[in-house]
Amino acid sequence: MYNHQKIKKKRDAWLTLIAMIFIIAAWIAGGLVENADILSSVKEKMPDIAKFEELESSTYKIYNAEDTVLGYLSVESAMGYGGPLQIAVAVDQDGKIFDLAVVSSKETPSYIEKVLDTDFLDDIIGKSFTDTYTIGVDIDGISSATYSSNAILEASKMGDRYVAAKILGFDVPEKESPNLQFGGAEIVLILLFVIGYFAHKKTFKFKKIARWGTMLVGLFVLGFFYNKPFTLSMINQLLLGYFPPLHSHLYWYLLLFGVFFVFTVDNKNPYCQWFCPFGAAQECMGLVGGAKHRSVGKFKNIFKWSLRIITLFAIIMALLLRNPGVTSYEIFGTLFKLTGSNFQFAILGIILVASMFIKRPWCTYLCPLGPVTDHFSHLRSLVIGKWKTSMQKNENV
Amino acid sequence: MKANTEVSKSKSLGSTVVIIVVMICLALVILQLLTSIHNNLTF
Repeated sequence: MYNHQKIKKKRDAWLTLIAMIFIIAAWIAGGLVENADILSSVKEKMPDIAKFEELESSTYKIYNAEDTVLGYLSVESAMGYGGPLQIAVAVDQDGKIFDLAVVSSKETPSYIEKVLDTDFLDDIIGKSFTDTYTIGVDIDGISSATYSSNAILEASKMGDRYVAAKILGFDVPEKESPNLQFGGAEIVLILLFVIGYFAHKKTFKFKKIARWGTMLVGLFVLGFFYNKPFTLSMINQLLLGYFPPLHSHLYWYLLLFGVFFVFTVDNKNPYCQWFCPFGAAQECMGLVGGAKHRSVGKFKNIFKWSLRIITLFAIIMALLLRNPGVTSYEIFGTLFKLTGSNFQFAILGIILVASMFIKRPWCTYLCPLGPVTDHFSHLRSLVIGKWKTSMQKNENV
Repeated sequence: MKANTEVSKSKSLGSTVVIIVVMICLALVILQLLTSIHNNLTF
């Protein structure tokens, strides 16, 4: 029995390292295949432009088919929800935007489609460097794709201001420094972490009440109200080094580093059991039908390894495509914002019904964050094991 | 004895249903992943 455990531990350590090697290889390969041809994408989306004359890096003088100058084009990028969004901004001689196109996007397709299906881009066209570009003031926001729409707006503003100041020589008013966005979502998240951290300890008396309290707050506030759950896309973003601006994405940093900090210190994942909105939704359904853990015999291992392989594949593809959101197959947005593909709605329907009879079926069999935290836990024990061994060796010497 | 057999049969049926449900969901997850990758490549 002892031998069997030792072999299993050794195998897990090797597989953890192999998974790391695959992730690093995908990261390198993704970097080599990036560098898409931006201009051909611009031409496709702005058919009036026939010729580009490069003035500076990412800035062009643009002509139509009759060789008449149309204006200037600047390609700018701003951080969306899943990574940088590249926007081509066409500016006329007066410093006004006359055309706009999303050249490349790292957003979850359903979110970017939501923006493109509205008049959001048309609302930006006609804006000048003197305008404020404020959502709710001179442009209507898109509540279900806030990060994507903000990134498009930010990149458009940058492109317009750049052309107006550097190419056209206008006196462009200085940009106001952005304020740190610290609001309800951030406060609730910090409180949930604190309660989750202290209440999970064995000595805490009101564990059950505290857990249901944090879960319900997670469900309604982080889930339905803000729709800001922890997703695979955040892990992919971290691996790709797509760090969003701190002032507008403080929540992202608090959630990601909060989970990994508590995990490193305590080897416990406070998020999943204590305030994951989707976990809470499943447990609420479970109360209705009396859900319980159900044994699946030898399939337990098959499902565990299937999920690990799917998660590794999802991460590798995100790194190869340099797109964190593309393989984030979770159904959180499908429940909380009714956004998703037909497959995601089908999975959501099955999971919600199954949750009435099986305890947390999504978390047990399908959530990609399970294998990620397992992997982190293995890495943590590998590092701690090595460190302890080297300390013992030093003491013996 | 008979009651035990009934319980065991019901447990086995429950497990089979769980296995089928998880397999369907895994298949849908794979389809979602592949579709999403395909859409990204053709965006």
